[in-house]
Amino acid sequence: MKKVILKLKNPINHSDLRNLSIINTIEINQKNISQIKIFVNRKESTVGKFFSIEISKIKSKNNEIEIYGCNKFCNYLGYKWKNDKLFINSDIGFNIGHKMISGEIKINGSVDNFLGAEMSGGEIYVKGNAGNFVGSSYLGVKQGMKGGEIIIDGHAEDYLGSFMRRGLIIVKGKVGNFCCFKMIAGNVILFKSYKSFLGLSMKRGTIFLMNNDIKNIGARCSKSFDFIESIFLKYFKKYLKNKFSINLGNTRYKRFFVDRSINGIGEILVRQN
Amino acid sequence: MSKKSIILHNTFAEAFPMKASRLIVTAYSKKWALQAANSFTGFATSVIACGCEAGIESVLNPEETPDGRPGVSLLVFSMSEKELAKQILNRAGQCIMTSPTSALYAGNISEKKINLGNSLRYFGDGFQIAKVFGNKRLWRIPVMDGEFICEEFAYQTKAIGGGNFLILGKTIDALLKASEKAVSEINKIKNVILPFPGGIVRSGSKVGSKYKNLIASTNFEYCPTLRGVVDSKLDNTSNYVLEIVIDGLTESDIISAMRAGISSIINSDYKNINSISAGNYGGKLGPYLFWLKKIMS
Repeated sequence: MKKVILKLKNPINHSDLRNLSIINTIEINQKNISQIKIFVNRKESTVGKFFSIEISKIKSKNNEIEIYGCNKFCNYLGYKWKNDKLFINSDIGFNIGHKMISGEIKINGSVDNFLGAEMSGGEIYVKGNAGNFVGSSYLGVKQGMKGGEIIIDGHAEDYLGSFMRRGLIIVKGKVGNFCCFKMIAGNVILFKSYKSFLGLSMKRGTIFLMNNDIKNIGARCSKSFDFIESIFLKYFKKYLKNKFSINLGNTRYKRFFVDRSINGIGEILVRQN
Repeated sequence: MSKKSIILHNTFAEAFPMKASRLIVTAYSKKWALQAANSFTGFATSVIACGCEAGIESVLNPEETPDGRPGVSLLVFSMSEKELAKQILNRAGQCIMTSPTSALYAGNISEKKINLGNSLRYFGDGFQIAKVFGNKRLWRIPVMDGEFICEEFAYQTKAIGGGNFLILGKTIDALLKASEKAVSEINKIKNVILPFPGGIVRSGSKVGSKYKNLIASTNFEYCPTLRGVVDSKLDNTSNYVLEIVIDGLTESDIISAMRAGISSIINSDYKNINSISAGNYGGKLGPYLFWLKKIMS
């Protein structure tokens, strides 16, 4: 397969790079890539005008695309991304991995709003922080993320996983307000603190709170019970360890059902120290 | 051809195509994993009347199972896709789900799916929870000891049933010892099972019967008590015959298993074992022919 390195020649103010995902389907060569149409500063242009392109052969199952020099004004990268690997070596704008299908996106920096919104498969890793609406739905759409996995090493802001339907989000840092708002299903692991209204109007799904602070749960909870020796937890722990080298440890969990005000049976598993 | 005076007959075992699926059962301990597995594979010796043939392929260490608990790998064989699906679902529901601390996962992947958790989930009466990890979907069904975890689908693959060899001997004591040794050697091989009790069958069958409703009946040519009445294949000193039947996923798996079993007998010092033969039905039963001499050459 091939490795493509795209380097932005000059900083840009506003760009819509969703068409770069055509790389997933075209034959990779200088000509084809340089002719991909993108929108820069709200005008139609081509990749060749703004990026330098290097192509080399690699021993890998999938193509790898590396992008350098982007900034928070570069949006829609990885739109409907499939199969290939995308490495972004800078901060990046909004709607990254929007409606992603499969493959992998690694962001060596921070990312703006709507990361992985409505994605249905694949994996997104963020080294830095993420904005609002991670893995959520677009405004007016009834279902958010429908599959795939998002791992954020830093913090995330509000409405993470809202309307989430399926998949896994792991946040190693702090999380903002309304996390998992109207969550339908899926798994969210929060390693550090969260702000108000966690799990509000949550129907189903699982939130793991590795920090045992429960005072900001906004949803109406059931009484909590011990959740020990769960086979599901054992499976999940092994999966996380094998795939992401994340160790959840062997501690006990308390289980709450939320949001009982709407008869939801979502679960919040709170790690006990 | 003979080694150490045990004669290898110039004949072949005849096998037929089947459908199979591998399942992995885990539990709190090896004891309870085996308990569930034994329950699942009970009454699954022959497709003639059991609907499927099933057996324990291997015992798995915690590192080899999806949830890190002790487990058992099972193979289930049947003649048709529909019957395989029916048997797996019924047995999973009645034997695995009911067994304390158990969980059930698919052990192979193919395009042909068999409903597992996808159907069993309704036992959860609305409290069941689906979880998707990677390309696998699990169902968490609430039960009285916690949750029964069950993968959504098992998967069907092509397989071969009816690989076999017969052990002919003078005394039942020697024959049982030799057969048990062969079974223990075959059990070390992956992708095969021995569906009969202890891996050994004493009522070998032939296709058809004088009674028109019977699809199989006793293999009279190898019944020592019928010597003198029928055209027997037994000599005067072969007073007992036992058969080892092997189901496997591929031809090479069955060949490996037959070779291991036969070798264990002819390379040992068993006295009172006369010969090794194989069950065939003149090509009426199936397209796979396993010639003993070719396998052992």
